[in-house]
Amino acid sequence: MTIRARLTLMLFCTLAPVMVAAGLGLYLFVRTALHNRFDDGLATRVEALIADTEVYDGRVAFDFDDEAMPQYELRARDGHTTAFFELYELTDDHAMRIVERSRSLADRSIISGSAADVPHGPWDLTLRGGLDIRALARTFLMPRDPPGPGTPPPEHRLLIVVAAPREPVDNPLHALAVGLFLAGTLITVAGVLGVRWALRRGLAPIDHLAAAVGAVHAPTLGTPIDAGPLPAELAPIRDRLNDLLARLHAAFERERRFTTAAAHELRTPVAELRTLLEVSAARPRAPEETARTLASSLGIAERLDALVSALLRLARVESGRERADAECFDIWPLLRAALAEAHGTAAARRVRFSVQVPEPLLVMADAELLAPAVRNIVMNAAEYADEDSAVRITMEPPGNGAADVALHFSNISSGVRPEAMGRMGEPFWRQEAARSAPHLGLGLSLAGAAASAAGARLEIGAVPEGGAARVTVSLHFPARGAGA
Amino acid sequence: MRILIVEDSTVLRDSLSQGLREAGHAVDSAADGRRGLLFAQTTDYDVIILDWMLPELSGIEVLEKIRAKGVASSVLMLTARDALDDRVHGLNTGADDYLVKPFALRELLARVTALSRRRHGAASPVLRAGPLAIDVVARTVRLDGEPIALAPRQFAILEYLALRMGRPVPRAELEEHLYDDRSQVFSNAVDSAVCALRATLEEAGCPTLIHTRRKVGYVLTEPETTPGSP
Repeated sequence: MTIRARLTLMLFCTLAPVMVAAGLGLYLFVRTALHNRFDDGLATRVEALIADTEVYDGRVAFDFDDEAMPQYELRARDGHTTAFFELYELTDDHAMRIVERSRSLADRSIISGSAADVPHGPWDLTLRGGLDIRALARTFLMPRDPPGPGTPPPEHRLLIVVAAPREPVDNPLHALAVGLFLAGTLITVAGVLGVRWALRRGLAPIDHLAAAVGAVHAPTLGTPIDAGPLPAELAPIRDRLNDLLARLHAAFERERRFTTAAAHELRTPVAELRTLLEVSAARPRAPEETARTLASSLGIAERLDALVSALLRLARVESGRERADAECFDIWPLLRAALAEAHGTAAARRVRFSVQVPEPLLVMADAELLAPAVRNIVMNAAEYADEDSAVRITMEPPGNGAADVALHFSNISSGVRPEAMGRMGEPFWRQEAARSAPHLGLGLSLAGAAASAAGARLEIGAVPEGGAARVTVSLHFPARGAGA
Repeated sequence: MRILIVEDSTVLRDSLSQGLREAGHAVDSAADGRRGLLFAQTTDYDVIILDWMLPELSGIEVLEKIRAKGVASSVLMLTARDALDDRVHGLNTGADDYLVKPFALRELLARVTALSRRRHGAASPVLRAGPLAIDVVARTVRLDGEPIALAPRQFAILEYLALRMGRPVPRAELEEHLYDDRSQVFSNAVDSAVCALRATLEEAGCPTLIHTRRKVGYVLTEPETTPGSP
């Protein structure tokens, strides 16, 4: 269900009972007022009729004057409303004897039971023939004339009943009910339509925002959402969405660069292998030449294997599928193995390693995951340090305390350009001018990911120094006992 | 044809050099941009195969510098970059062609041949010299439709002279384009090679097409316009 439909329903459910209650209250108020007024009229008639009752010659008589009371005629004359009355004398045995009744009743009767059944206040009834009337009864006493000797009661007990058609009350009430129903229906329909219109207008910015979000695709992630001027409630949502898009764009860009660079790195060894084999297969070769080709091919295949393994490892590390198992261990065996591995490369380029680190140096990390990081950092320094230069390996703070430890690998490299210093840790990125043939390309990126997974942190910095750059790769380890 | 390969990958550089030499070309190679620039500026190469990512100087920088120096050699850029922007940038900088790694050796040889042919204004891969049809792509020579077996060096001389039909080619130029730095060239090497080519062609029944210009070099002409005896 849409927000628009939900809000409309909620508003209807709230408004409808209020309107019904208001209509009902108004109806009851008007009905009560009309009844009171009607009843006042009946009471006046009762009083008038009582005044016309008299005792004459020991009998109750009614001074009925057609001229004075035309409404009680069989057919009311023009300008007069028909009314009814009955006058009873109550006997000692609670029986009733009719004394007089209006001609307008003809052969009908207002009271059909005994005197005990007569209500004390006004009541509604329907005369035979279907006429709805409202009646009022009152008991009153008339002194006997002349008063008799002995025991007879000194007074006549009389019951006068006056009634009139309810038309003056029922008709306005009926009109009021119809009017209220129509007005209520009209207001409800108009309210629902108006609310829907208002909601459509009010919620239009959401539609604009949704359309703008819907137009976002992978190639346009870098373009911020512009849904026009938005209300204060929606502007923060748009801003958060734009923040999210910016982060997604950055991640996509990183992935794209990584994929491009990965493809790029794989192309060269594949090209080597293909050309080598094509040239070899172009004509018959001497056995020793074929053996050399096969050895070279195997070397390239091993490099490809290492490259793919490094890629897969980087993917596993970065996706969190490799878990760290931090422990306190001496980093020297890892350092020594890495230096031995890089010895050939360093010697060929006359790069010296100056290690100023106490032995043992205990650090907190996952040794297995840290090993490729150390290996990559050392190999990277051996490959990219300027020829005839030194790579300094130092630690901070000096000594072997239990605080955070940082291991720095620092060398001069004239191949690093200033504008590239900030991007040195990205996957596969490397300086074109600093490229050398057997390089794996992953370099510091894998080192960074592996160090992170191992519980350490890798930082790369480069500052200008003597026309070249001093590149420092640092491994930061948490304090021992701090956990992974 | 004399070709320069500037490629930092040792395996690729050596393989390409071998493949091109076996196709009859003289090949020099350089492992970095600075050395490649030096070679390109000091020798008149027919084609330079230039890798994009090189130590010292990048391929694009080398290309910019040799074009600025007026080097007219055809340049085939060789790179692992395959983005459209990279290709456009390479071509706009002065490259004549572009090949993305990995590539088929046959395609590289075909492109190198096409570049050399276009450089000398030959639209067809088959060069005509009188009754001779020299197919620079298939590396074959036919005399009135009959194939003549030529050694790679002999074909290279014939191809070089045919691309410059009617123009005397100095011995030094011929030597520069037929022999790379690895070759041990004796003083009469070019004369001996041309002599051997003439002998092979005449043995096949071909009229004399290659003439010696005293103190200049050699010229390949049509039979009708033969300018007297050498």
